[in-house]
Amino acid sequence: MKRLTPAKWIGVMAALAAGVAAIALVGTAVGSSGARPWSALSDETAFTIVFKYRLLKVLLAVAVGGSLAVCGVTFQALLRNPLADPYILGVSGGASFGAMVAIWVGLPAVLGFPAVPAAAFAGALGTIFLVYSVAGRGSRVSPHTLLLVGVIANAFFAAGVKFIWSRAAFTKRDEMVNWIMGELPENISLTTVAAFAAVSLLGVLVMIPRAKAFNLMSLGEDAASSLGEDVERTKLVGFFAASLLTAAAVAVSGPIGFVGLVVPHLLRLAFGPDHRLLLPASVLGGGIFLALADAVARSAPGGALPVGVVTAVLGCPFFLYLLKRGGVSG
Amino acid sequence: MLAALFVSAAIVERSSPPARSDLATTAGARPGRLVSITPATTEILFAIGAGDRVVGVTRYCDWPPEAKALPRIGEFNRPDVEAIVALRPDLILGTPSPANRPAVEKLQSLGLAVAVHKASTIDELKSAIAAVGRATGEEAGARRLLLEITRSFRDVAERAKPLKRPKVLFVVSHDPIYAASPGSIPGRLIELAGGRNVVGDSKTEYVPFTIEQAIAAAPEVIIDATAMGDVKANPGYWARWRDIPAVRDGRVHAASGDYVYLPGPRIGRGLREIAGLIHPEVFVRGREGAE
Repeated sequence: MKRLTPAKWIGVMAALAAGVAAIALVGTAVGSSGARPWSALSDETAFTIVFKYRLLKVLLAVAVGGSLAVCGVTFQALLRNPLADPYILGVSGGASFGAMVAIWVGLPAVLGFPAVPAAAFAGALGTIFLVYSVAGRGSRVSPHTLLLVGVIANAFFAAGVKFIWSRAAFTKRDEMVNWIMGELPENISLTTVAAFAAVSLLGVLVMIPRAKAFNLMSLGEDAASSLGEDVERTKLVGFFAASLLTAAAVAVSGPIGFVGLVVPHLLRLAFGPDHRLLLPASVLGGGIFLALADAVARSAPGGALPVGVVTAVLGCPFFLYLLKRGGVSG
Repeated sequence: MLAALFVSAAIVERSSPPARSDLATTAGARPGRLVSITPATTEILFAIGAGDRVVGVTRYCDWPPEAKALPRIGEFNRPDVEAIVALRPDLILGTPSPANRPAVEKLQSLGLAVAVHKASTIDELKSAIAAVGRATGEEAGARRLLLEITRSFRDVAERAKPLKRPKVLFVVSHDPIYAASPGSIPGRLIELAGGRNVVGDSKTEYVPFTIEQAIAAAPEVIIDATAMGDVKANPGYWARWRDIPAVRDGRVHAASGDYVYLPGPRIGRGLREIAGLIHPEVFVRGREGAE
């Protein structure tokens, strides 16, 4: 393990923060129209596009991307599995199923809260509860059992989604496909961004203080407990914080893939496996990655793409390249 | 840094939107720059004489041909908010759908005037044409179009009334097959044109259907709208199923254009075409250049 010095920590975090600033500038500068930020002050239309449309997308992309990446780090640490991502325990499957039900039966908004994200969140919560209650043995939970139950839950809900899709009205299929693709919502208000950022901050504040415990866990659960770590408690808190934050992210933007898998590996490769740096770095790194993908998606020639398509297209080849170089490890 | 961005976004959101929202409701106003987010609405705008003010249409707006040259603003179910705002529209028109609602709400929250009118039944289509006429100051054009549609409907319905009613299947998709139910626009047109829809009553406009159901229902005419205009490509899908009377008798027909099942201004022409396919002995086929 490379040694982590305060200087390195500050250097890396400062560089990533600069990266977030840079991608925020790029993200508000590009889009499907020719509007440019420098004309925003003299031109009302450009002003609207840059500040009331693009900026909110960029902010939400940073928050969602950061959340997914930090959750990815947590799942990879606690499951000690390099293939773990925020969706591995069934959260995205349950959320998708909930969203599909809402679209299928045409649920109305409740108290001004739109039905599809609400149902997605409910589906995710239900899945979290189901998976942990099936996998748990008293107060103990085995990562392997969790993984298996999560895989089964995802497979079951994938079947449920296909069932609903095949039963759904022809005219509703587009909305379903749009959601499943994983997409930052088109109608973003500042309230949405603020609420999500608050939830995200809360989750991050639970995970980051457990960096030392995550480091010990990577030596194995037995080693960690012999070093005085309360392993079961760390797992429980970590899993729930990461699962709930993932549920919120999927409710807002659908199951956007690859951010939570690729970004943790990328940062581990670049800056080493110490979670004291990896956890906070993944918040900024995930934000950069998703905001970049969103900028590409919004300015793609031939019309905007769903951002989930771009994250996979950017993420897969890069991941394979890292794998080929032998740089990927749990 | 993020906090600074966030604060700037908060300040911007509080600044009041430009007061343009009243335009949509003012009868007789003539908004100068129109954007259509629905292919059928594009057709209506051109048909009532507002075509020269349309500055943006969806990627699927291919009628009338002039519409193809206009700037594109995404798809019906994925309108591109930024592209629409950049066109500085005075009024955005279209039909509502669950998938385009977030974009419509965003446009409204940006202070743009948006007028969406339901048009999934023939009655809704008629009120949509009238409403689009009012919103764009083309009431006379809208009245003329409505009269024309009413006339062709009355003409076809009267001539079809005494004829025997063959069984008809109208398909809009293969693998899976989706068929038009009686409540859909093609379903209504089949009935008016003197046909009997083999699909039973349903809450939804298009229902899943199978070859097995098609064999059991034994339609005498199949109208296949899956490869619009490509008359030769379509019947091939059905050729193996000679148990179906329509296949055996060579009465599988390709709908020659999407106007047949889109709720647009060419609906009268769509009805005449369907009538020609169901009762070729009575109705002259209204399919231009297809055969």
